[in-house]
Amino acid sequence: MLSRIKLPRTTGMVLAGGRVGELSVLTLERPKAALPFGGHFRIVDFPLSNLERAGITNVGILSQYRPASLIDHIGVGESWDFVGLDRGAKILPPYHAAEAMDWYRGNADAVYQNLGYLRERGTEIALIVSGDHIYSMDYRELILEHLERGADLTIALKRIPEPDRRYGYGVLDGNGRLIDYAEKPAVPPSDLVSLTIYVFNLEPLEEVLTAFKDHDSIEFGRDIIPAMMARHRVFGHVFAGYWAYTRTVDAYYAAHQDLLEGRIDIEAWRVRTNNEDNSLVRQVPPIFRQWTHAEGSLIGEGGIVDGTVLGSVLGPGVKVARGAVITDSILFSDVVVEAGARVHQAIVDKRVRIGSGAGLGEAPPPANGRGGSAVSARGIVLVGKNARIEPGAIVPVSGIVPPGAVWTSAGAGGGSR
Amino acid sequence: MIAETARVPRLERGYDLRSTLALILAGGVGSRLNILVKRRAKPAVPFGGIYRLIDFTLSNVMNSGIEKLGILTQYLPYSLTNHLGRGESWGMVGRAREARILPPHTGSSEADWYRGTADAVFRNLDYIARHHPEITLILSGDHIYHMDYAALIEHHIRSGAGATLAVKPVPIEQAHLFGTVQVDGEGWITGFEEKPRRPQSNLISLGIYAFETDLLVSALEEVCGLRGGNDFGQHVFPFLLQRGRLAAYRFHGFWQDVGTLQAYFDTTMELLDPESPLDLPNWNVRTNLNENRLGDRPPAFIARGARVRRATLARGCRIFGTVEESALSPGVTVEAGATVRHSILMHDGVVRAGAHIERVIADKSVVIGRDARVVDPDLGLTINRVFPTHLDQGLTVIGKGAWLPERCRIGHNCCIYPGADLARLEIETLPSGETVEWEGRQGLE
Repeated sequence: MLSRIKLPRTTGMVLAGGRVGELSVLTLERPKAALPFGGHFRIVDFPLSNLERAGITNVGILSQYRPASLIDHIGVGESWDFVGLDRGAKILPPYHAAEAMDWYRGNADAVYQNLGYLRERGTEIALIVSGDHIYSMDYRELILEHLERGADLTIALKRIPEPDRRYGYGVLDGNGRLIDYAEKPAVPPSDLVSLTIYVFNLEPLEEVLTAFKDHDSIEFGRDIIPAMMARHRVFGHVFAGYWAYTRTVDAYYAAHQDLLEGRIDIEAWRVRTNNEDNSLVRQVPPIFRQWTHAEGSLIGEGGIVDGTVLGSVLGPGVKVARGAVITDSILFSDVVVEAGARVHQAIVDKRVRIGSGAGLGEAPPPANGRGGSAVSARGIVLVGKNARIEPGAIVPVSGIVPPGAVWTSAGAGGGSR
Repeated sequence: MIAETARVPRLERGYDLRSTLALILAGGVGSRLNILVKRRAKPAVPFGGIYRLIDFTLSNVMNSGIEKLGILTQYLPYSLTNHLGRGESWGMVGRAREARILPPHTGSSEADWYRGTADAVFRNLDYIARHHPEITLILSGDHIYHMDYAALIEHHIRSGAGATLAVKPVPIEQAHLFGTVQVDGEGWITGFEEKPRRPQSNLISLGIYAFETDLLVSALEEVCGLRGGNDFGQHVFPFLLQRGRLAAYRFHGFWQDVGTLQAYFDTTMELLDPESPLDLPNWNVRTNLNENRLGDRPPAFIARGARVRRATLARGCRIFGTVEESALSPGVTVEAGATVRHSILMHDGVVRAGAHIERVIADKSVVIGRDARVVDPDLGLTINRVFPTHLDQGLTVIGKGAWLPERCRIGHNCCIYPGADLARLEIETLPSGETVEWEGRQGLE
């Protein structure tokens, strides 16, 4: 295959609006797509890097939930080579038009409201992808298959071993044509789940979106795919590579284990990020002191480690004092872990300070439910941004510390934010 | 030190630091750094994992609030040009901000290479004239330090000096290695000595000069234009001493010239010392993360079974073995069962399983084969025969892209040239003090 295949004019649209309650305190102040991943990356870096590698250089990012961190992160898009002649990346928030436009009413409405952006760019193919999945895919291959089949819509699917109700499921015939599709069905009709990666020819997309314009909400899975199947040629592309949807705390946590085990290979996948974000540019390489014991871990820039770090991912600027022990945990940027503190199976958001001798994820979850949660079946502890765990305080298994809270032995106090 | 006199009104009316022009002298060969400068200028030598030496001066300029910068290059300028880019990594891009590389050029009366530090500035008087700064700051591009030039400039303005030199007290027994400055009780400079055998003063010049631009221009026109002088230390300052007032600004922070392999090595090891005044995490040093995909690499990975202590690991490092008292640049792999101690390994080096590395400086992309031993103390302690003044304290230095085969043994004080393929040369054992050449020796003393 030639590397310089001329694709039809393709515009990437990244669905980055979602905030999912299942991620609890981690997405109180940021959309899922902006969630840090693997130290100094954010989840949206994965689809953006896929777009870059495919040579798709015109990109719109659809965002409405607390987009500030996403706007900062994407900037003008130069980290993914979206700057230059006939290139561009734009964040597309909801806006008011003459006829009282509104918040996006579902992911398909977000695209509907930005059809003008697609038309302006002379788009022939709209590649619509989710901003919060972790995978490496050659979108060119997908688009070429779409063209060869003369499809109007191609959706990417993946076989999963244990069907689960959260997904949309497709059924393909022998020619790869999509013959059935069900969103979050009680009984999955197949083991092929939709990856929220859609290749649309612009005209049928416009036609179907416009037909739905007066509905209260429009979703690709629920509304648009079935409508397309009824009137157009819709095919499925089965993807065999790694794919993770970090929709829940446990899935997000498991994806980090995949990273540490090498199932996610950031170097080989050529994942790019914005070093201007998160003050990454001011960080020195991490320094390991005399008493360091680090194994099976990723240690971010600016880290100063003098304690024990096992099976964990440390974001930029994390300080681990002598005698502190961090096991099987994910720490975001600028977390400080003081001497003798213990952090086990926890996800700790930015700028949290964990006092000396404090313990996270040790005591069993309390029977009365204080500090306990149904958010993580694995009992992962969650600590919100800027929280402070007082010296000696204990956060039990499944405990959730709200952003900005001061957590004492007796539980959270001091209010949030 | 110096009485506050005539220049105070200038401070009161508000001297605008942004109007200062900084010129960085980055033409130095730095030949004592041996093969580290065989294919790059001294200011471009990597340091501290992700940095190059010039980043310290560039970051000082940025942190001091100075917005105009010229970099005078001539020796192997490509790595520097590439590194600087447009200067955006140091905030130098904007309507009134700029960073420019100023290579030697023809078109002046003499079409020639820069003949010295002062000559380099003299040949760029038109660049200075274009900016017409009140004060011109002249800096070196190859020292490790953190200085607020605003404090130097304020001292300069308050003193009313024509030029102010930053100086630093050192133990008197080390002063003979530097240019020393004699200072009177009021802080005025009374004499200079270049590497004196019996120093009269323990104050050394740090190669950091603040000039009244008018004075700089007239002095260079006289000294370089008419008298054939070319060096600040030897010609310009002695000339000015007879005519104007030269002030000394005492700097008490960390400042280090890493012009020798041993100083380079020792200063790198200071990064690992929590007590060292070389406090990099608080210096806000910036580098160009777009160069060589540096910014695209994932965080350092330490595998199960690895051991890392007293070390710094840049992005993209993958450690499966043991790393102690060492500084590893981006992308270095240390395989299981390999040991790296007391060494500096630059970008994308590979230490294969079972190899043992100690007291080594390895430039970029060096491959150390399985079970190799570098250095092997059983191979003696002979001083390097070709470079007796460069390699005499036990360090072995390995040039960029060199390849050391399985089970090879290399002694102390060895020098292996960039690109050398020891397997092709059929070298399995290299006694201490030996040099392995590859593609000649040009560019080295």
